[in-house]
Amino acid sequence: MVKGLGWEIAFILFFILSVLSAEAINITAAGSWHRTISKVDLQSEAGSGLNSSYESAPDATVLDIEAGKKNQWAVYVRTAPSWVNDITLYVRRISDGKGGGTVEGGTSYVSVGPIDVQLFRGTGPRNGINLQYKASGFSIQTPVGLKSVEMIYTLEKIK
Amino acid sequence: MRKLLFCSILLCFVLGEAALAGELFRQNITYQILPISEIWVSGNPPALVVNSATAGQQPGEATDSATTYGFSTNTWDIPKKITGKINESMPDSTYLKVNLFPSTGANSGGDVTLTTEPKDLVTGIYDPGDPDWNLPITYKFGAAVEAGLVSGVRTVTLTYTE
Repeated sequence: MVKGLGWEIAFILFFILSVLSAEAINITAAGSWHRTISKVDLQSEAGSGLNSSYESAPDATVLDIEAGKKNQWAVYVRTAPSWVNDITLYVRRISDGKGGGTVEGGTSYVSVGPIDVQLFRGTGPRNGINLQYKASGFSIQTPVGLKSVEMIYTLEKIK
Repeated sequence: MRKLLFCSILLCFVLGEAALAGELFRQNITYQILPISEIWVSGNPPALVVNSATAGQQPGEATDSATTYGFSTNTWDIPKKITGKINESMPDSTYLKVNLFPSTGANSGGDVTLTTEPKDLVTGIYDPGDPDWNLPITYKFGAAVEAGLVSGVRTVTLTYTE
C-alpha cells in the first residue's frame, strides 16, 4: 500500500513541476532614467526657449524575459497616472537582446499613458533587451520642480 | 488517493492560469527642471565718439542702438528686474546712459546714467513664459567741454535678478 502511494505521489509531484516549469514566465528590468533640465538646455542663448524633447541613453532600461522555449509572449507598458499632462513619455526597443527566443516590434517610439500599450512581442527567453525613453513637450513655461512617473511593464503569455 | 490526484491536477490548472495573467515590473522615470534666469546681449556696441558741437553749446551726445538683449526664465511667477552698472567710473564731465526697451508688461527706467553701483533699468518683469529676445538697447555717451580730450573702455554688466 505504502509502496503504491509513493509512486503515485512521485507522479503527482512530477506532473506539478512539469506544468509549473512549462508555464513559468517572468520579466525583470534594471536601470532607470533621471533627466535634469537647466539653462544648458536652452535652444540657443538667453531669450530662447527650452528644447522640447529629451532622450535617455539607449540602454536606460534593460529587460530580461524568462520564458519557456515554446512560449509566445508580449510586453505591455503603461504609466502610473502621475505624469504632468503637458509632457508625453515615449519608449522604444533599441536591441533584440540575446537568448533562444525571438523578439519583434517596438523599435519605433510608442507613446505611453495610463492604459497598457503593446511595446513588443516574442517567443522564448530573451535577456538584455535595451529600452530608450523620450520625454517631449517641455517649454520655458514648464514649471520648475521634480516630477516622477512609474513605468509598469507587463509580460503577457499568449501561448 | 483519487481526491489527492484530482486536487493536484486542479492546482496545476490554477497555477497555470496565474502564469497566463502576466508578470509586472515597475520602474521610476523622473525629470527635474531647475530654475533658469538668463540674460543675453547681442554683442558690443561700436565706439561712441563725441566730436562735434555747435558754437556756444555743449557737444552733442553720441548714440548707438545697434545691440539687443534677451532673457529666459522659467520662474515666471516671481517678478524680475534688470540692473546695470559699469566697471569703472566715467571721467569727470562725461556720462554713459543706457536705455533698455522693456519686455511686454515691464517698465523701463528710461535713460539711466550708469555708475559702478547697480541701477534698475527694467522693472516689473512678469514674464508670461514666452522668451523675450532682440529687445533694443540704446547707449548714449555725452561729454561737456570741460572734459577735454578723453577716451576709455567701460564694461557694462546687465543682471537679470529678482
